[in-house]
Order: sequence, then structure tokens, then C-alpha cells
Amino acid sequence: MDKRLASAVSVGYTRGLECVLGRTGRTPAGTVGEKLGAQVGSSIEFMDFREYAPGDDLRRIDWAAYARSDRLMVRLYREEVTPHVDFLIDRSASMDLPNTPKAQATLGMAALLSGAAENTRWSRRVYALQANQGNQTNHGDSALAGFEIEGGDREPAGWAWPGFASETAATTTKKNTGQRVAHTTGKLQLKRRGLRVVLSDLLFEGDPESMVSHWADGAAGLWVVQVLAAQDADPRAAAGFDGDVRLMDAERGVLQEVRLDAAALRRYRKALAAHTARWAHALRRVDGQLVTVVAEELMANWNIQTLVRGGLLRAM
Amino acid sequence: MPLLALPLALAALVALPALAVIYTLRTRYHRRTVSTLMLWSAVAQATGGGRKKNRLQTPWVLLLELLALLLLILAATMPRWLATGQRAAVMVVLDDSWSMQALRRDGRSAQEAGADAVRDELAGLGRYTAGFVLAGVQPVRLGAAARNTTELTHTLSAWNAQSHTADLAGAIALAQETGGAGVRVLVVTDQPWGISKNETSDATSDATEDTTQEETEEATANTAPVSLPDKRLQKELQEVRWRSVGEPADNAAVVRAVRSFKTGRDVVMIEVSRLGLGVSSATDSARTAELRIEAQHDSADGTPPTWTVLTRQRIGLKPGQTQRVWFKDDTHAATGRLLRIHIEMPDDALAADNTAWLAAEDAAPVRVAILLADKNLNAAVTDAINATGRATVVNRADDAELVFTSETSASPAAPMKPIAQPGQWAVRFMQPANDQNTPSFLGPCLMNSEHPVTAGVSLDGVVWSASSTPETHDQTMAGADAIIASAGDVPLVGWWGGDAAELRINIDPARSTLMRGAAWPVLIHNVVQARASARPGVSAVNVPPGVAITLRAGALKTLGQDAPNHSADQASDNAVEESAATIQRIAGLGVDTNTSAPPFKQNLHNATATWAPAHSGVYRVELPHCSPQNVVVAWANATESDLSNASTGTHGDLNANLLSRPEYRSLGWLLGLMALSFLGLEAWLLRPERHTATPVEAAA
Repeated sequence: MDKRLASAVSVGYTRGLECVLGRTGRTPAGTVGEKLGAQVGSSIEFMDFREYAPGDDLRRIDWAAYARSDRLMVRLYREEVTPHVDFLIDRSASMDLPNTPKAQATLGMAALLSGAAENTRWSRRVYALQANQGNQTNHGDSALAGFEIEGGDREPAGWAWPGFASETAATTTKKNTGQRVAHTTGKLQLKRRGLRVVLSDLLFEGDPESMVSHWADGAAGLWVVQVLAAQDADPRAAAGFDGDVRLMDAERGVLQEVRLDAAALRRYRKALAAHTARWAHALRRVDGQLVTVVAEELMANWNIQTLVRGGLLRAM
Repeated sequence: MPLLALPLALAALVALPALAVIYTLRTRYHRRTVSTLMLWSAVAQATGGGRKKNRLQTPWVLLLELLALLLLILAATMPRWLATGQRAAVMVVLDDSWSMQALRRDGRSAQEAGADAVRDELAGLGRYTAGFVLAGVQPVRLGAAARNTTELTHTLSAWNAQSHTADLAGAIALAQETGGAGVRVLVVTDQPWGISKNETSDATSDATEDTTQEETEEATANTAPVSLPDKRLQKELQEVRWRSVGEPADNAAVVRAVRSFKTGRDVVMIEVSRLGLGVSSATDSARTAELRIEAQHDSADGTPPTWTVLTRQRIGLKPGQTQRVWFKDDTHAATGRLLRIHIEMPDDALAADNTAWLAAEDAAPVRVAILLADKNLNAAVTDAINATGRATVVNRADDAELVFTSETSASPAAPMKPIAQPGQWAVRFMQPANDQNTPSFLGPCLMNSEHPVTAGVSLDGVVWSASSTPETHDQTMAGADAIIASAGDVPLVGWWGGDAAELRINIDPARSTLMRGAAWPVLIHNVVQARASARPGVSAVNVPPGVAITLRAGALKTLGQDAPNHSADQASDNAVEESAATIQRIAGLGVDTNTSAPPFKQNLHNATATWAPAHSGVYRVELPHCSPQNVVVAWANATESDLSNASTGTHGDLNANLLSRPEYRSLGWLLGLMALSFLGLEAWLLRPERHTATPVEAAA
């Protein structure tokens, strides 16, 4: 991990220790743990009474209540869980857009959320969405593939981060050594009933419905943090997006010549808004949340109000 | 094809590539990397209606702007079109000097290249009327005006390029004078712009060189005359189109040839040069040239004369070097014959100057009778006569052509009368009586240096003792045609001209130092030479063009020198009847040796005429009661032989001041309208609504 990314990770993690993860619609739970879950479990924390039903553990019948009311009542206790969050980081080339702090913001955000999870005593795991076609990162169906980052359950400083797709060539040697490569590749093996946080710019083609449903499958909650560069969010503010411009796709290297003026940029923003709206709509169908951050703004002051307002984080 | 009145406006053509560069830079796409093109595809399609359309629009607008700009530039050049029925008037000055015959590297002569240049220049004018002026020794008109290619070819065929020099300035002046104000003048020459040819050498002057020099010697190195810019010519050339068609080339030439008859034999001095400095270094090494001297032998049966080689020798010549060669005809094989000197060198560019001709001078010595009683004076005259090498002393006065005497009249008071008989000259020394006290003069002496007798005579330091009394003057110098020399008011030498000329010298030999000084043999030589020149026949046989020579018919009495085939009585009768000389050019010089011309008559006045041949060649002159004589009219001009200054290039413009020529019509307005049309079309293509109301944009 180069210095700029390491610095962003360090700062983000420190900033995340000042926060905790927000509540999710369903309690993210593990089989055992030290956190009380939202459902009935086997902890000593009383939760409720209900009438006995065949099959209930006879040890849970409240005989005192049976004496008073002549009804078989069962005492319910809250379950004890270990909450878990999976971070899915889009490592495509577009996330390391040249001349933008998009990569720093993405990893910094992941570190921040990881710090918040640590602060909330949630387990965590970091996955990188896989680039599986040579050095080119291709979204679409392959976006569902990925690999677990080695050390992803520890502090971000210990992540064996192989880099974004644009750095794939530089990290090929490391990959070939097999020392710092992910454990698994291919279809993601995400923890069930865990919280899932996807960090991506979502700027790829494909059906948001299917992708979101896959990410949300078995999850206690799904958050998608859309990290955009300023030129992605509003090219008007970026230099060079005026007149005749030859645009190059950061991932595929494809060129396209356009003549940009105010009307054209206005059409771009409309297209981006429509694209984001489709993702938001898909997320709502699975009870997920979408939060958009602009990399330049985040890196300027690490302002996380957007995430707090969205409910993903809470300040301590 | 239209002509451009202001061709400098074409410099604005640089705006065309500048416009193209601007378009290129303006339409050059700067690259930006974006996260995805997915969101930009719609933008691109809506903007220009597609990639293909964008590519086509700019070139069309650019093309229109380029066309409009080009038309505006052309309009700024003020193109003009020769009006229907009009012709461009031009005067063509052709360098008629023989250096135009020099061969160029392409195998053509400068003259041929010049003819092609004339055709090209006139063809560029479209319809034309071309007059021609030959720039030779004197500028002359050549043929009629040419109006088409056929006439042009016919006129150019009369261009011979055989003059020994070219008066370009005079020819240009004649062309401008002939063509009128504002006429175009085209000069075709082998010289660079502004360089006129200087006549710097002559070759056929009388020879007086000392024959004791070595047979062959190197005269000078790098003596090729250099043409200098002629300011007067340059001033006249401001509105002249100058086409230089020559090329520097190696050239061997006979630059000087002199022939004299001394001590009973022909002596020929020849100078050959290798001219053409500035040619490639490969020719800087010495080359061997062969020099050949031939004598002509007339045939009796009318067949062409034959030539006998008298001598042949090889000469090494370096570039710019001049070698002098002497030929002494000890065998008398050349006596009285026409000589031809020829030099040959490999790769010689110019053949016209390789041959020189020399006619034979009158070889007969002047018969002199010395009738002087004073022994000292007699000895001084005899020595001086012998020193001339052109006279022989005879005993009888009536057999002499020149008589030296001191005879005076019987009556001292009566004026003396000339004693010479017709056809005879006399030199009479007017010696004072022994008892007469004569003053001596040390100068200053007045002397008519224009008289042939006093040419080269200097009286500085000479003590001249002469009778100074007025009576003596009246007696001795009365009636003289000219007083040639005098000391104050004392006449020393008097001259009576005419057929029986007399020179009277008022001198006391005993008290004078004239006979012991350098002026004496010069004076006697001049007298003998003047007498020889006054013989019947031609005064000179080797002359340059334009120099007048005197033709004298035979006298009524030839005083012992009877003309061949004529007796004295017959000559007396015929001298009255025959009053004209017959002159015929029997051969040309240079490359046209076979050129001959029909004979013509030259009228004689008092049996004398002056003839100034204008053209070079070998002439045969027949005078009454004289043997036919050959006269060579030639000019070896080293300037013409020097090809180092020849150049190829152009200067000036035939179409200068085109705006002031009424035969042309302007095309600028038409080009301007076309430019405006293109600009209007471009404005229509770029109108705002054309780019804001596209269906794709509306749908977006």
C-alpha cells in the first residue's frame, strides 16, 4: 500500500474510532457472542413471556406463572450474538481515478467504518471485488466475484491490500508470490446475518437489482457507500471538461470524443442522477441504504455527516 | 492566364496554413480520463449528431474559410487579364556577342538557351507583340515585330551572336526609345544582372614589339579582364526583365595576335589565354592546348584556297593564365599570305575565339633618296633610315618615294616651293648659312602631337638651333599646311600635305642636339611610316571593326612602283575613269568562316576614300591600279572570351507596373465577390439555430 493510501487508511481508522456503527433493521447476529441480539436466544437477559407450545424447552416454563394463572407460560430470553460487518471494496480502476483522491477516500472510508466496527465491537471482514480478466477490471457479472483481503479482520493497517485494478500490474509480483493474496477468489462467501457495506462508485453497467439482491442475500443489512470523485459528481467544477474532449474510460481504455458545453454537462448530471436513482431504488427493495460521498470533500475534512444522517454511523 | 499586379500580396498565403493550424489546434481533443463512458455516450450523440457528422462539419467550414481567404489574397494581388484584342508590347534585347555561343553543361549554347528563354517569357505574356534589338558593337533593330511563335522563330534565326562586344546599355536605351514609354524590355544575355561588357583589349594594332624576346613566355597570370557593374546600366534596368542564360565554363582563346614585317620577314606575336575562372576545381589543373599557325595558298583554278601549317606547338595553360608565343617566319613561307592562328583545347566551351586571322602587310620597303651635302646630317639620316627596317636607300631621287634634301631655292628672297613630285614625299632641311648666327632653343617647344610625323616624339632636353628671322620664316614656311613644331614664334617644322607632301625642318644641325637624341629616330620612323601608309592600297590590313582605314588608288605616276599589270600610261588613263574601290567580304571569322557577301563599291574622292568596316571578316579590296589586298577585320576581346562571369538567373519582372497598363482588365472584383459568397455560405452553415435545434438535442 503506497503512502497516500496508507495515510488515508490511518486517518480514516482514527476517525472511525470516534464513532460507532448505527443500528440496522435486523440485528446482525452470530451463533454465539457477547452482544444481545434482537431475537430470542439463550442469554440470561429476560425478554418476554409467551404461552407454551409443543416443542419448547421445558426448562424455560415459568412454573410460578403456571401456579398463578394456571397457564403454561414460557420465559423468553434474548439471544447473545456477535455482530459482523463485511466490507466489499470495489477495487476496479475507476476507483483509482487519476488526479483524484478517489482511492484514498475509498480506503479511508473503509478504514473509518472498520474503526467504527471495532469501536462497536463488531467483527469485520474486508473483501475486494474481484478483477478477474487480466489487468482489466470489469464490472457486470464479475463484480460479484471477489476475494477476501488478508488481514481484513484486523485493523486496516494490517490489511494486505493488493491495490486497485490500476495497480494490478505493480502488484502482480506480489500476487505470484502467493504471500499476500486473498484466500479465496470467485463467488463471495459472505457471513449470513451480517451487515454488509459496499464501497463503490457504482459507475458500471449492469442490473442493480440482481447485484443488490446478491449482496443483500442473507444479510442483516446492506449499505452502499457510493464514492465519487468531484469530476464524476459534477464535471463543471473539474478542469478540462469544456470544448472538444477525448474521454478515456479508466477501466477499458476506450476513447470517446465529445464536445462539452453547459448543455452537455447538464445532460451528464441528469444521467448520473438517473443512474444513482436506479441503484437507490434497487436498494430500497432489499431494505438497503445508499449514501454518496465525494472524495474530495471527504478528504478535505473527513466530514462524515452524510453517513451519520444516513444512519450508518453514530457519533459517540 | 491572369497576371498579378501586386504579387507581393501572395505573402499573405502564409495565412492559409496558419488558419489550418488554428483549426487543428482548436479541434484537437484534449484527453480526460473518466470513471466510465456509460454516462457520456448520450452526451456525445446529442451534441453533434454523431461522431461522423462532427468530423465532416469542421473540414467543410475550414475549406470554405480557406477558399475565401485564398480568393481574398488573390484579389489583393490585383490579378489582371489581358483584354480581348489587346497584345502585350515587349522589346527584346538580344546579346549579340560571341560569348553567347559558349556551350553550357546541358550541351546547348547560351544563345539557344536564350532563344528558349525568349519563347518562355513571351509565352507567359499570352498575346504579345515583340520587337527585337541586337546588342552588338552598336545596337540595331532585328527584323520585324513578332506576334506569334512562327514569326518569333523566324526572327530569332537571324540572331547570330557574332559581335565582339555587346552594348547592352545602348540596346536597352534603343529598345525603350523604340517601344515608347512604359514598354516592357526583356534582356537576354549571358551576363548577370547589371553587368555590362567592357571593351578592354584590342588585338590587331600595329606591331612594334622587340623580336628579341623569347619564343614563348608567360605574359601575365590572372589577367582576365573583369566586368564591373555599370551604374548607368543599373539605373536603366529598374524596369527591365533580365534573363541570364550563360554558365561559367573553361575556355581557351586567342586574345591577341599581331603581325609585322620587319627585317624582311614576318613576325607574329600571339597571346593565348585560358579564361573561365570560377569553374569547378576539377579544371584548375593545367591543360594542354595545341596552337597552330597556317598560311593560305590561293589556287589558280578558282578552287577554294588551301592552308599550309607553318608551325604547330603544344602549350600548357592554367586557369587564368596567358601565354605569349612568337613566330618568326625565317623561311618566308608566310610572306604576303593570309595567316590563320588556331588553338584547340579539350572541353573548350567557346569556339568563336579560337581562331585569329592576320593579313599580310605591304612588305615593300620605302625607297628613300638621301641628298644631303652635310655629311653629319647625311649620316644621321642614313642611320635613322636603316634603323626603321622599313626603308631602303636608293641613289636616284626620281626613283625614290621619299627624298631627304637640303636644297633651297635659287633666290633667297623668293618663297620656296615644294620640290616633291606627285607621289613623292620630301623632307627638306632648311639649314641657315654658315655665317648666320642662329639662336638655340631649349624649349618649351609647341608641337602638334596629333600629326603622324610627331607621334611619340618628345623634344624635352633637345637643343634646337634654327633661323629666327622673319624673312626666313616667310621664305621657308610660307604656305605651309601646318606648323608642326615651333619654339615661341619661330617655326621649326612645317608640313605641306597632298600627293607630293613635304616636311620642312628649320634647323642648324651643327648647333642642335636633335640628331643625337631619342627623338630623332622616332621622327624619321614616323616619316617613313607615314610615307608607307600613303602608298596606294589600304592603310592597314588588320583592323578591328569600326576603325576607319584609308583606301588609295594608284597614282598617275607610280615613280618606279608600277602596279602589276598596269603601265604608267594606262594607270594615268584609268585613274580618271575608275573612281571606286571594290570591296567584298570573302570570309567570316569565328565559326562562320564560309560566310561571304557580294562585293560593293566604295567611291573614291581624289583617289582616296575612308572605309570603316562594321563587321568582322576577311575582306578583299580592289583599288584602281593596285593589287588586290586582303583586309582582316577582327577583334579579339578577352572580356568576351572570359566566361567566368557568365551566369544563369533572372531579375526584374516583365509585368511590373501592371496597374498602369491599359490593355489589362482587373479580376479583383470577381475574386472578391466569390470570397464574399464563400463567407456567406459559411455564415449560413454556422448560423446559431442550426446547432441549437437539432432533434437529438430536443429529445434530450
